[in-house]
Parts: sequence; structure tokens; C-alpha cells
Amino acid sequence: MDTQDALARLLDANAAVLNLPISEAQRPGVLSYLALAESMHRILLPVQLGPTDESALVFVPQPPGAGHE
Amino acid sequence: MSEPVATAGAIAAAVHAGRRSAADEVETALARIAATDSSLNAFTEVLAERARTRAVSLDRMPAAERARLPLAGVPFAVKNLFDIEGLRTLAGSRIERDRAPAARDAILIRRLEAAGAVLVGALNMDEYAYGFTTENSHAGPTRNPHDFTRIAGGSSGGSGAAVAAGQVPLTLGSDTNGSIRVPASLCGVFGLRPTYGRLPRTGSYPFVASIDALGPFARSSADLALAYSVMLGRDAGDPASLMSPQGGSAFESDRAAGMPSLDGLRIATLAGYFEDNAGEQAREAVAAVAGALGVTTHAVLAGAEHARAAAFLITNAEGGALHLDDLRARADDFDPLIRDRMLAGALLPAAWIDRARRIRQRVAFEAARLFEQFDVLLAAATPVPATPIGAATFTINGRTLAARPNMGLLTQPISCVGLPVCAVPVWSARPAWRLPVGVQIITAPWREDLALAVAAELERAGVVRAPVAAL
Repeated sequence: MDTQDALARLLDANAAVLNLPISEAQRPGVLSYLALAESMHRILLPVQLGPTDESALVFVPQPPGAGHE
Repeated sequence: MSEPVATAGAIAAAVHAGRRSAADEVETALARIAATDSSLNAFTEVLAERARTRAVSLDRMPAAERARLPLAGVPFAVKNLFDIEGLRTLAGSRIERDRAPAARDAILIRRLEAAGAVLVGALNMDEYAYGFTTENSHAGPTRNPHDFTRIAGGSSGGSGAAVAAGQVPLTLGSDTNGSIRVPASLCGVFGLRPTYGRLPRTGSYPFVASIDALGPFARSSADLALAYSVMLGRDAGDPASLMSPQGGSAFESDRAAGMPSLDGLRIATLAGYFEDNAGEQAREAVAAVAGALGVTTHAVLAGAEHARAAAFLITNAEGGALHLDDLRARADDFDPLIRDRMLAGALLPAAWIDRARRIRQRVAFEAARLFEQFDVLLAAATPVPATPIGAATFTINGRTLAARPNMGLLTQPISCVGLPVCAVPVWSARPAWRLPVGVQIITAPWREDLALAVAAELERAGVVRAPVAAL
């Protein structure tokens, strides 16, 4: 399966799971942006990561009284 | 013919001395906006009544009390993703027009007003901050004050244009991938993107919570420093701000205050990715700044291209997920310029995004290693000066690139790893290059003071400047 076919299948499957309608008018644009995102992912693929390479996400525990205004 | 407003520092000094009242300054700003904004389209809301009421209260204040306000009588405006009490927080969208008005001003508006500044309006932007051009399909494009046929940059385009046009001396914007630095570069003004987490985002509409930062635009580094200093401080409403060091000041490196001089600073120009993706004028701008600082050393940020790709993916996914409910229910109410990008972002595999976040952390460590060798890094802020409104492409170094996603090529790797940057405007002596390009002065996390001090030095040397556009 080539990349375009794979992205079209990803669009159909994920849109169905997310209950996200993609109209025929939107589909070509969405596919082109999926292809752009996939090209960015390909740039990252050669980077070797180990199990200790943590995500940049850090959760911040909230002390009592620190709720939103 | 309207007069442009003075700088924030000059306005506060005149109000402190009693030469001008806050009401005088507000009327000057309102007159300038009225005379110029039909051409520029920087403002989406002008708050004349609120500003006049606030100015009266400042003018009735005892003089000694007013003299303690560092921004006494300074008119300012904010990108329309900041909450303003009683107004709908549009974030550049049509969809948010259906939401309830904000119950309270954003915390940074409250902090600026507590320092004596006067809010006069809200400013145009790319929808949901997803763009570099402020070609907003709902509100119309914001035009570059130095050439109405050109973009102001984005996503905080109204914020850059309003300062360049002399409508207000100070504005606030947000910067996820370059949305302060790009319009500062293209409009020829100063802009500060602080360290991720430095200024609390409480009461602002998010875009990519893991990258977003808020900061000021102004016509001088001194004005940036004034505004930045009064906005400092953590707030529980923004968990990212809780990691920010307490205290701090824009003036920690001020030689007049006896702090370390800039003479010993280790400064390098970023080579590799940052040279390869800068056009001729942008490279000359960096060379002019480096020359004025006596910099001959080059440095390479390993993984810069990876940081840019990671920023793209994290932005796409977080943006799409944030707006998923509206994408399901009313996708065609989004700006056509961002709708399909948002839809695609909502569909991306989680494994792609997690990999991008892990690589983001890896590059942050690379940057930390670089700052063991250097205190300040220099790079162009945009690959090219302002492009024509509606332009689909620009060309650098023989390569033709899509204009809208690539105007942030040089800013994205830096914000991806959360570094503070002061963007400074450089004007070429070449007649063919009549529009400015900005240079990024990049420092280690929490060292905004150094970036501002270097910007001030460049101003003193006459290498960077932000003239009011001839309107």
C-alpha cells in the first residue's frame, strides 16, 4: 500500500472512530494536510530514542487552593 | 492628520511630570486609530468608553500615587484571544461569536492596568492563532503599515501592525510557533516571546497549551522591558507558570544598576538550519547585528530541523483535538484557511505525537548544552520580509516554499524548546529592500533580561530601530 492509500484509510478509520464527518469538499484538503504531517513524521523517524527519552509533557500537581479563578 | 502615539516610556514620563494627562494620551491613541485603521484593519474592537473612564480615574489619582505607576497613562491593546470583561473572546473566529462574553479581564491585562496602562481595544489575528499571515477570512486581512499590499505577519498581526502604525505604543500577543516574532519581524517592531511558562496565560484562549507563550510588542526594547516587568509572576490559573522562578526583572543585567556588563557575553550566530532557511536579506540582517556586537563565532543547534517537525506535529494534533467538538458540529464555520488543517490534526496517530514530544525534549537538552558554551544566540526571525497579501509562495536560496506554513521556519525550532527570544527590527540600506526583517536574540530559559539588554545595546548602536510607519 502506498502512502497516499494508507493516509486515505487512516482518514476513513479515524474519522469514523472519532465521529468526525469529513465531507467530499473537505477530503482533498484534509488528505493534503495529512500528507504534510506524515512528511514531518518522516523527518523524525531517523532519530534514535531509548526508553529513558521522556516526553516533554510534565504534569503539574495542584496544591489545595490552587484552583482556577 | 493624526499624530502617532509616543513610546510607553515617554508617555509615562510625561504623565508623571504633569505635562500630559492620561486622558490626553488616550485621545491621541483613539484619534490615531480612527484615522488609520480603515486602511490597516488592526483593531477588531475599540474600547473608547472604557479607556476614557479609566483615564479619568488615573487623572484624579493623587500625583504621588500616579508617579508610582510605571505605565501611567500608557494606552495598549491586546490580540483578541485575551479575555476582556464584557466582550466575547473571539480568538479570530466566527464560532466564538456565539459564546458568552468574558466575565473578567485576562490576568496580564489586569497587571498592565494595575501599573497604570489603559486598555483601548482588541486586535486582529489568524483564526485560533493557527497562521503566520493574519489573512483572517472573517475580519479581513491586517495590512502591513509600511506597505498596505503586504501582510503584517501572524498570528498576532494586529498587535504588530498597531505598534508599527503608532496607534498604541504597546500591545500583547501570543506566540506558539512564532506568532509574536513573525509579525514583529515583518512590521519592523520589537517583540518579546518569554520562556515557556514565564508569563501566566490565565484568561487567554489557548492554541497549543504545551507550547503557547504570551508577550509584548513595542517600539523600543525599553518599552518591552517596562511591560514585561510588570506582568511577571506566577498564577495558579496557568500550571505552566508555576515552574517559573519567583521574582525576576527585565533589568537584571542593567549596567546602570550595577549588574554584569554585556562585554563578557559569549554570543554566537546560529549556522546550519538557520542559515540554510534564511533568505539573502535575512542573512544580511543577522550579519549586521553580529557585526555590531563583534560576533564572529558560529554555533549549531543539533536537531533544529527535528524541533521544527516536532512543533508542526504537536501543534497540528493539539489544535485539532482542542476544537474537535466544533469540527464535528460546524466545521464549515472555521476559516477556510485553517479548517482542513484542523481536521487533519484531529486524525493524527498518537504514536506520531508522542515521538514528537520525546524528540522535543531531546532537542531541549541539546539547547541546554549549547548554552553551556554561549549566553546569547542570533538567528533571523523570518526567512524573508513581508510577502504580498494572498501570496501562496516565497523563494529563498533558489527554493520555492509555500508561504503560509513556512514563514515560521526559523522561529518554530526555538519556541518548540521553550526558549526566550527578543525579536529586533533591522532595516537595510539597500533601496530594493525597503521593508524590515527581524533578528531573534535567543537566550537560555529565564534569561529574558539578557535578551532585552542585548536589544538595548543594539538600539544604542543604531543597528535596530522601529520607526512609526509614514501613514
